[in-house]
Amino acid sequence: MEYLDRVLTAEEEIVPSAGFAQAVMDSVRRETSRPIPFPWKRALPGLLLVVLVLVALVFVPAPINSSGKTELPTMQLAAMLTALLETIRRFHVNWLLGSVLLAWACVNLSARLASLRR
Amino acid sequence: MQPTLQLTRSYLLRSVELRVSASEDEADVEKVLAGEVSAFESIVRRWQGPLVNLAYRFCRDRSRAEEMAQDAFLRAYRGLGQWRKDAAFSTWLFAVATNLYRSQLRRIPAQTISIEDVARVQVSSPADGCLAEVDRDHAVRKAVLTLPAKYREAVILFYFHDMDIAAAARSLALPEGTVKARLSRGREMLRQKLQRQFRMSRWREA
Repeated sequence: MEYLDRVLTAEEEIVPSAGFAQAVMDSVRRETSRPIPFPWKRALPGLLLVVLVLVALVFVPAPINSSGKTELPTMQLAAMLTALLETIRRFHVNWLLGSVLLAWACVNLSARLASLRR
Repeated sequence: MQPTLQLTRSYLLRSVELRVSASEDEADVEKVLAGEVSAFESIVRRWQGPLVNLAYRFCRDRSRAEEMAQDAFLRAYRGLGQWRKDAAFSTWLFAVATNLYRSQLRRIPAQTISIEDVARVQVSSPADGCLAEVDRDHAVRKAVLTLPAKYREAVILFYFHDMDIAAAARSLALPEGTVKARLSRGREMLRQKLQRQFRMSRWREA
């Protein structure tokens, strides 16, 4: 057996400190008591799909107009967008969305700063 | 001849221990997954020694080794459901721990002394100018940390697993051939460095 093998195999074994297992279990229990974060990444595509379906249900006009002719899909889309913009303007959704985004950014920034300090 | 026999005996003893603990591990994991968090304590008590020792070989700092091992247990706890039982629990646990130790040391490297510093200790040692055998062995172990990461990891895991290349490869999630090549290169680098610094002519023994 080589010198290197002999030295590196006969490695000194260290014994974990007495409170090690307890410290691990404490951190495990802290972990379990912490609420599970909402899986936004996984849920986002589904949520977007739901929103789109809802928007489509509310704003998409019937496929056949009053004269009994089928409307072109591009016309449907244009009408849908117009209706959506109109709704946004009427209910000031842009301001609502802006304030929600600002609030979210503030919370996120504070959380990041707090975790950095920790 | 004697060290080889000792190594074989310790290897056999360890493999028997591993087989006994495998069934206990599986039962405890089942309990934890069923919601019995306290069952994880048995896993921690069973594997705290190996995980702390593995971490210690990576960083040579006792308190940091415990912190790293604690993080490894926490990560194992979080990912317990990902253990697919196609390999022993210990294999999976070592792979999780090794992965964590590697990434932690990449972020904050272990405090090492250079080979040159090791040599300086030699020069300042008394009388015949040679390090005492214990000090020299200690310096050799510390010198492993001066190797580039990929060679260092292969060397550490190989000796941690009692010179079992397959086990080292599983822990590193690398093919055996890669580990063998890295190990060979790492050992050669280590040998050259130490030979140069200690001017030792007797590296090989029958």
